[in-house]
Amino acid sequence: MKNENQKRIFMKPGKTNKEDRLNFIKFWANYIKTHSDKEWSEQQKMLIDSQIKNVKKLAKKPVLPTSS
Amino acid sequence: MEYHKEKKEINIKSKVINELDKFVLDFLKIVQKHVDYVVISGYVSILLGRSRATEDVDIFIKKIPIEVFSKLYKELKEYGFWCLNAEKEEEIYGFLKDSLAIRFSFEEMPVPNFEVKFPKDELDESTFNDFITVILPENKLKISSLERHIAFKRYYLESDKDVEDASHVEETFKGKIDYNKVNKLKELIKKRKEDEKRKSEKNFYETG
Repeated sequence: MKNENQKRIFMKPGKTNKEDRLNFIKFWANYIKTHSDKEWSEQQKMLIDSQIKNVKKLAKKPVLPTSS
Repeated sequence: MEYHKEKKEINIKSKVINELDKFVLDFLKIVQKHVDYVVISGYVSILLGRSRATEDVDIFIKKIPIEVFSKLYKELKEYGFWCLNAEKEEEIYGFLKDSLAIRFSFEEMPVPNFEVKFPKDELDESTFNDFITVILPENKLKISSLERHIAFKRYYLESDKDVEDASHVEETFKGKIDYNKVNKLKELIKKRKEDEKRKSEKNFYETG
């Protein structure tokens, strides 16, 4: 349940892709500092586990025979 | 996440361990039985919360004789890790001795993998005296100090991704970073880069 009194912090959109990425890093670092380790690491787990799951899927795919 | 600067410790005891963390902890459990190590570069930022994945995890291991490496390699193979660079231990050890990085992954899955290297100079060697311990729910691991991590990412590696990794640590630990130390390391890095450039130019003219 979200605390209604908790002030939301918004991310400033960047004028360039680089600036936007850096603004997100600041936003995320602030999220880490204002939320429990369990909360941020659950989201990080989702991101990292999905990448590893995809790699495992690819590793299991049979290699197609090459046409000569 | 609590950083106890004086104790050189970061406590993330409530971290929800992901698949990459498990891979790292499994590998290091074997490594630390044989040799001292420090985790460096991208995974340091990821462990400390950066919202990105990676294909490799970099570590320095202390220089060891081939007999010790042989025992380490044997145990890694027993646990299902394989070397991406060669099969024969003499060849793999030769790469390390030549200051080249060797890679290990789990059961023929090249990603994620561990990039293992010997320190190549005094600056690398000093990482072993400039580390912090990260405390996880059931394990501990050694990473390079925050200042060293920032300095190498910002002034040696320098890509967008590396600068973002440094920014993440700077933002997350704002007010706790020793920028005098970062600047001292920056000077040493600058000197190393100049040496590397000189060597590379000399090599170019000698072989060209």
